[in-house]
This record gives sequence, C-alpha cells and structure tokens, in this order.
Amino acid sequence: LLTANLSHVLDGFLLGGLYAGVALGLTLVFGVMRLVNLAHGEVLIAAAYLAFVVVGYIHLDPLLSLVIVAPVMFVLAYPVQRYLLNPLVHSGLEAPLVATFGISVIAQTVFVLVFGANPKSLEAAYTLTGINLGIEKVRTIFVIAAALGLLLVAATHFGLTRFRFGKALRAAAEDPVAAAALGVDVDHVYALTFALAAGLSSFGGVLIGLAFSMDPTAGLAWLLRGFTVIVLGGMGSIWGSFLGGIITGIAEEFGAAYVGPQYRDLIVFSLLVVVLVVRPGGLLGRKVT
Amino acid sequence: VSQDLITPEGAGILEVEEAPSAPAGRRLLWLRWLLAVLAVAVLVIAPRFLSLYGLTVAFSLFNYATIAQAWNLIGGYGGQFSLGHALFVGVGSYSLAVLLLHTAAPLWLSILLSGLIATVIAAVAALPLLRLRSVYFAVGSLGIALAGTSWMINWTFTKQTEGLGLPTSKATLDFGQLYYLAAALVVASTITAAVLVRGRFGLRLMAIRDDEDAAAELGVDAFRVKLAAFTISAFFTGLAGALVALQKVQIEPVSAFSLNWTINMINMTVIGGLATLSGPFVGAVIVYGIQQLLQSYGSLATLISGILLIVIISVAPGGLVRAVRGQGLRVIRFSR
Repeated sequence: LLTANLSHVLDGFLLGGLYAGVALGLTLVFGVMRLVNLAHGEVLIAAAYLAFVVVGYIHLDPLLSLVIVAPVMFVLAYPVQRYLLNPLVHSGLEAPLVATFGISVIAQTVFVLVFGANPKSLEAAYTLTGINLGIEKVRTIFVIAAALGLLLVAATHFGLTRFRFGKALRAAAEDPVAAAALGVDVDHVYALTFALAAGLSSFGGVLIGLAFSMDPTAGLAWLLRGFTVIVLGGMGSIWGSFLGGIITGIAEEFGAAYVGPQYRDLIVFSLLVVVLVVRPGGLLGRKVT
Repeated sequence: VSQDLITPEGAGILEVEEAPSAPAGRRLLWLRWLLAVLAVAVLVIAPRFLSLYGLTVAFSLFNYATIAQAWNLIGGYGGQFSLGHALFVGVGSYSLAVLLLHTAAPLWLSILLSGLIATVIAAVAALPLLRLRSVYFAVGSLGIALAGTSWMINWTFTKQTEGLGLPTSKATLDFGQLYYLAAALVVASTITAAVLVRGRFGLRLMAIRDDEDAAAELGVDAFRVKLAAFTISAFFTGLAGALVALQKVQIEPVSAFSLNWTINMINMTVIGGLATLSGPFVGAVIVYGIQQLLQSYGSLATLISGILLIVIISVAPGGLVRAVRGQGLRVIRFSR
C-alpha cells in the first residue's frame, strides 16, 4: 500500500509539473493585468493544433516545432490584447470577461471548422516509452513535461526579476498609473505580457497534445485545471503556480486511484470550488513573483 | 409609486432617478401593457397560421428567449456572470425523463417538478458559489457545470452516455401543444423578470451589481438577494430544459448539459442588451436567426454569433436595445 501511495505521489508530482506549465500563461496575465483570460484553454489547444500542422508539413519533432509555434502564438496574441482587450480592461472587470469568453467561443468554432470534432494528438517516440524511476515505471513524456514545467516556471521568474522588461512589467502590475508617469508604455507592456503568456502557453499546449490529446472543446477543462492551479498557488504568484500544480496533480492522482479514474475531471473541478470557497487568497502570496 | 421604492434599507438614492420620469413613465407603461396584451393575443392565435416547421421554429425561439431571460436575471440585472447555467437545462431535461420513467406523476406535475429540482440544485450550488465575486463566481460556476456533466456521463442510474428515452405513453405532445407550453413559459419568465426587477427586489439586486459592499452597508442582505435571483433563474432554465426533453424525446448527457446552452444564453443577452427586458428577445431572434440561416454550414453560426458578441461588447456594451434607444455608449457597471 505504501508503494502504491508513493507512486500516486510521484504520478501526481509529474502531472503537477505539467499543470504548472499549463497554468503559467494564466498566472502571468492575471498577475499583471488582473485579467482572467477565459480563452486560456483555447490558447493552449491552438498551440497544440499549430504544432500538429507544423509537424505535418516539415516532420519536426513536436517539441522542436515550438521554435515556430511559440513565436507564431506570440505574434497572434499581441494585437488581441492591444486592440481588443486593452480598451476594455480600463472600463471594468466584466467587459474583458465577456470578450475573452467570446474569443473562446470563436476559437472553439474555428477548431471544429479546420480540424473537425474528433480528438487528435501529437506523436513522438517518447510518448510511448517509459522510464523506471525506482518506485514504478512512468511514461517518458510525463518526466519531460514535469521537467519542462519546472524549467518554464524558473525561467519566467528569472526573466521577471532580472530583465528590464520584467521590471517594467512588474511596475505596470503594481501601479499602472505611476508606471505610465515614469515612461512605461502600459498598453504596450500589457500586450507584450499577453503575447508572452501565449508564447509560454505554447509549451503547455504541445505537452498536452503529446501527453493527452486535443479536441475543439478540450480547452475548457484545461482552463479550469489552470484556474485550480493558480487559485491554489495564490492568483498571480509564479512559484505559487508550481506549488498549485503539484497539489492539483497529487490530489487528482489520489482521487483517480481511490474514487475511480473516470472521475478525474469531477475531482479537479470539485477541488476548484472547495479551494475558491475555503482559501480564495491561495496558499502563497498574491503578487507577481 | 416612488414611496414604495424608498425602503428603510436605503434604496433612497434611486428616488432621484425615478421621480422626474414618473408622469411620462406612467403613460408609457399604459402603452406597454396594451402592447403586451396584443403580443399575448398574437401568441395565442399564431399556431392557426403556422406550418409544422413554423411551430418548431417558434418553439425553439421561445425556449431560447426563456433561457436568455432567465440568465439575464442573474447575469444582467444581478451582474453575476454565470458560466454554469447549462447545468440547469440538463437537470431539467433529465429530471423530466426520470420522473416520467420512475413515478406515476402526470406530465404537468413532472414538468413543474423538473423546474423545482433545478431550483433545489441551484440553491445547493449557490451556497459556495454566491460567496464568490466576479470572475471567481464565473469560473466556479463553470467548474460546477462541468463537474455535473462529468457526473452524468458516468452515472449508471441515467444510463451514462446512452441517455434516456421519454415514455411515449405519457409524453407524446404534438407540435401545437409544445408551442403553447414554450409560449406560456416565455411569457411567464418575462412577467416574473419584469415584476422582480421593477420592484424593491430589482433595486436591491442592481445595487449589489453596482457595488456589493455599499449595498451591504445600506443593509441589503446580498447573499439572500443573489440566492433568490439565482434560484428563480434556475427554475425557468430547468423548465425550459424539461421542454427541450419533451421535444427531443430522446436525451443524452453531452448535448443536454452542453456548454452551448450557456454560450447561447450569454450571446443572446449581451447582444440584445444586458439588464433589459427586451434584450433577450432581440438577442434570441438574432442568434437563432443566424443559426437557422446558416444551418447547413455546421458551426459557422456560432462563429458569427461569437464575433458579434465581441463587437457589441467593444462598441456598444449596453447591447442593441440600448444602441437603438441612443444609449449605446452607456457602460453598464458591474460588481467588483
């Protein structure tokens, strides 16, 4: 039993690393703009589909295809924030909510029209092989995903604290008016943040396509997983989202083992509601980094 | 009238807005009643002139208007952006099927009970949900709805994804009967919404939407008011769900609990006009009209409605109804 439980913890830890990577874009956008992007799931799925297309044309490894996918997502996302969401962000909380909801609906429909309703997945040698980690054998892709998730979180934290842009971004998050007075182009910083989040989400999206699959409506479940992660981690905290990812992953694995694997979604969404009510401030702080 | 509006709980601020327009408002009210009576008369005699296709179109349109009006009560007037209302459509559909299959209750009672079951589930869901604000409420309600779908897909009692069929002995209605049921429901939901939002209750609800903390300081019990709006909204949504099941006869969880219900409610209400009584109707005609026109192009209709939603929220956040009245740029204030 102990070994079984240990293996659930290990599975959950690996899954959680993936979740941290998946939630990173959501954390960044919320942390900087106090905006919850209801289309975050569709951003992930769009990246996975884009990788699917790239891999189809030039037969790259799906992870290497990120060299193309991430910049494309970055470029696509920038004008969305700059010209659609920025004017709404200033006018209250619900208008951007409606707008990102609209983007989510539009994206889902485009996915159906272009790729059809059936699930697709990304394929690579490491999605089928396993690695023995002592306690148990796990799928190689989950080890890669967890490592990449951790790396992304660390890199984002590093970027925000060390680089000039990161500082401008944190300044804009802290006090947009003061930042603007000091010469920070807040609209530009917001748009860059959104674009950066989309670029980072490309990694999460491709990992989803590799480890699971993508279909036009899959984004919503990922939005909720991402939201669970960032609420647990304390809305907007970069390291918090790593912790939140691990907790969500472990809770899901234990739930799947003791309640039933078909109830994974039910378990995570119930966890979300419980956490929202019990600890809306999250386990760690509230600020970016 | 204005005496009624000023309550000890302190909705007195609204006196300023209401008082000057009272005489003109009263004259308009008289005209509105006449129009309403005319509309009901048209509804009653229309089936004589409608083909079978016309009847089914009218049925779906009424049902859409009902769920949009129901969503508008909590989402528009209440400012609580529910992403979970598809749950109540599904609960209404499934409750009707289960009641007809497993009890001896007559059809009319089963329909009513379906609405009440949706109400009870809404009340239970409200206990955690309505403590949340703004986007937390939105995402939390989406979580509950998707958890519900996930549960229904796995529940053996309702035959998982296979779904349920309504017993033909008890639930065979012709198109005319379905038409009248849907028409009665849309009239009932609109009258309920009109009575609620024009009275004290509506003032409290909108005060909460505009500033929950200030409303609470003035003595409004925010939780109770939101709970009432949420459960009444769920009641009508559940009834509409029951009618959907009656029309389809065969139901299964993926489409009964489909998020498309929620998407349509929000599209219709925002496009027509949040927190207006006519907005959900205008929105229903537009959204359903686009769906009918583009029926053979798959999900293109959803794409166009989605684009329309974004255009409206950016250009005329008050919706088409207010844009036509020349209040297009008035931004609705929401709770924070």
